[in-house]
Amino acid sequence: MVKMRTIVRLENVSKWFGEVVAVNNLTCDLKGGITGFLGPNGAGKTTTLKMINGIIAPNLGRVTVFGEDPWDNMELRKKIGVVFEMGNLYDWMTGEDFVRTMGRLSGLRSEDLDKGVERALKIANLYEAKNRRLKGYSHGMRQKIKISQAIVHDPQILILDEPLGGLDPISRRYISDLIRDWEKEGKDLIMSSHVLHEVEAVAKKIVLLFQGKLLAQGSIEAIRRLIDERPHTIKVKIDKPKEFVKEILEYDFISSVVFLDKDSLIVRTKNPEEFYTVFPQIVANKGFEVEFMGVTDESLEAVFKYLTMRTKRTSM
Amino acid sequence: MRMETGTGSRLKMVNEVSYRLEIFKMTLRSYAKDRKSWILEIFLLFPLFVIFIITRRYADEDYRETAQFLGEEAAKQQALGDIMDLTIYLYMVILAIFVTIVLGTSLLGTEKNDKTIYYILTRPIHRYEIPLQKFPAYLIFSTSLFIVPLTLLHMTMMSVVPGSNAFTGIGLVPKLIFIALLCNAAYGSIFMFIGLILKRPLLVALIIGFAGNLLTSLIFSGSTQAQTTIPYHLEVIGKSFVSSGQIATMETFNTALTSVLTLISLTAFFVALTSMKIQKQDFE
Repeated sequence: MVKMRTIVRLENVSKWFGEVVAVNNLTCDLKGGITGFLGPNGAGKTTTLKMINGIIAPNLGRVTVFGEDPWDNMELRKKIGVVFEMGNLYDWMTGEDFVRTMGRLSGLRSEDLDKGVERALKIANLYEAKNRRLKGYSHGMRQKIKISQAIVHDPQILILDEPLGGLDPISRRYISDLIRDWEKEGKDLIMSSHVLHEVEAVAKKIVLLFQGKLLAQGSIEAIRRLIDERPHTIKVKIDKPKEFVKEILEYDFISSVVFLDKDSLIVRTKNPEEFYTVFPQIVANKGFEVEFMGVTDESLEAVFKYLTMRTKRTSM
Repeated sequence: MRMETGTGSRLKMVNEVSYRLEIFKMTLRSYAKDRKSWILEIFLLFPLFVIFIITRRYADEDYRETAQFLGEEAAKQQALGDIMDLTIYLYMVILAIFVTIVLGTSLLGTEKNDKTIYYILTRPIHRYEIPLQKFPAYLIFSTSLFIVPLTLLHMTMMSVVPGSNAFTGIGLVPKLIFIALLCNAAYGSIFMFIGLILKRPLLVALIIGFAGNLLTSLIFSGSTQAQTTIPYHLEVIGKSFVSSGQIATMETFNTALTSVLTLISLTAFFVALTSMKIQKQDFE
């Protein structure tokens, strides 16, 4: 069931850093459930998320979360959990240390803290690795521990900035499931991504941003139709690229494959949805090790340029 | 029932205080786990080898002569003066600057550059509290790094004085540590601020640390110029603790108490400035 209450309201919000306008007169309401911010790099997604949780303040306009200004708002922060794409971890801490410290900083104590830490580590499937130093965590584990620290205090809204970026297919699926479970618990989630299919897998509503402006908002189906008319290029870094190419070229939806170096290649597909369905199956069946898989920025820029042109044409 | 309410509110207060101290504890732990901190400790211990050799070779004879002509008490005072000279001119004016630059600029600078500061900024803690909790942790840790080197410095020097042993005049050590505390506080507060406002604070911190005298001489002259530098105030305080040595002969323009208050005020100013800055700062 889609909740209709407004959790976040952005009213004519603008934010600039020096001469760079990151967000330009953005107005939108985010309802409950899962909402995805979609846009290429530099679209203003991270800046918008930072304004929503009060890390930065807008230069113009107004941001409210549950009707309140998020800037330096202590009570509101207890209701929000945040995961940023960028940034290191406190590598000298163990996984449990990190989540526990963040729990304490959120005001949790004694039994509540113990329960919160255990729950957060188990949800992220890191309970077994809780005594290991964060320095030794893989990329996927680091992403998951970031989620653990964000949910340790059981917030109402979870904000995830590019949560699936650069993850292997198994971690990708795990975090996608985790996001869906979050919604099932009746909680809200805002995520950002520059990959439509990542957002589509979990969210029903998206906010499409381009160059700091709102391009479209609403049902994912309509926006997806627009984007899917463009071919997608996906970069894959894999341990046995030649064997992988043999497997993938069996499918009709693959237009071409170009080798970048000995273990990286670019796959061009007419049907990204099918690619994203088949890819994990091939990897699992053949036992490939994927170091990286993601849409290349260049192709996304092209898609969004195409979309912008299309929007302009439509409005004309 | 009333008692339960009282206990409950006390517990809430204890929780509130302990929750407020979380960043303080985290900062102390991060310093203790950081390899850099222990390299700094070795860096502070290293000159002791040189001092040990020089003391055995030269000062040893010097003290013996003083003891012979002026008495053992005079030799002891001479050694205490030498200890203060080394503490001020070697440890505070040179080595402490490296320590405070490394630990002070990283206090907020590393968190900002690594973006780990987001984990704190998104918690229910006022931004201005971050420097207020981090700075005392820095101060305790940085000063603790000086305890062993300054104690060993004292013991090395005193052990060669006729009629004295390593523990003679040990009461000077807490005074040396007090000077280290003030030095770390003054420099650290400035470097913490620089670490917050600049992306690469090292060069500016080095200029302030080592060319402070030169910089102030461009603006001020005479006693005003001296009084605007941190080393001068450390010298004044050091002078008040000994009756011999180079430092005892220096010209001063104010009392030791004024210098202590000046350094405390400077520290408070920069900590407050950092708190004000972080309260308004955007973290891009």
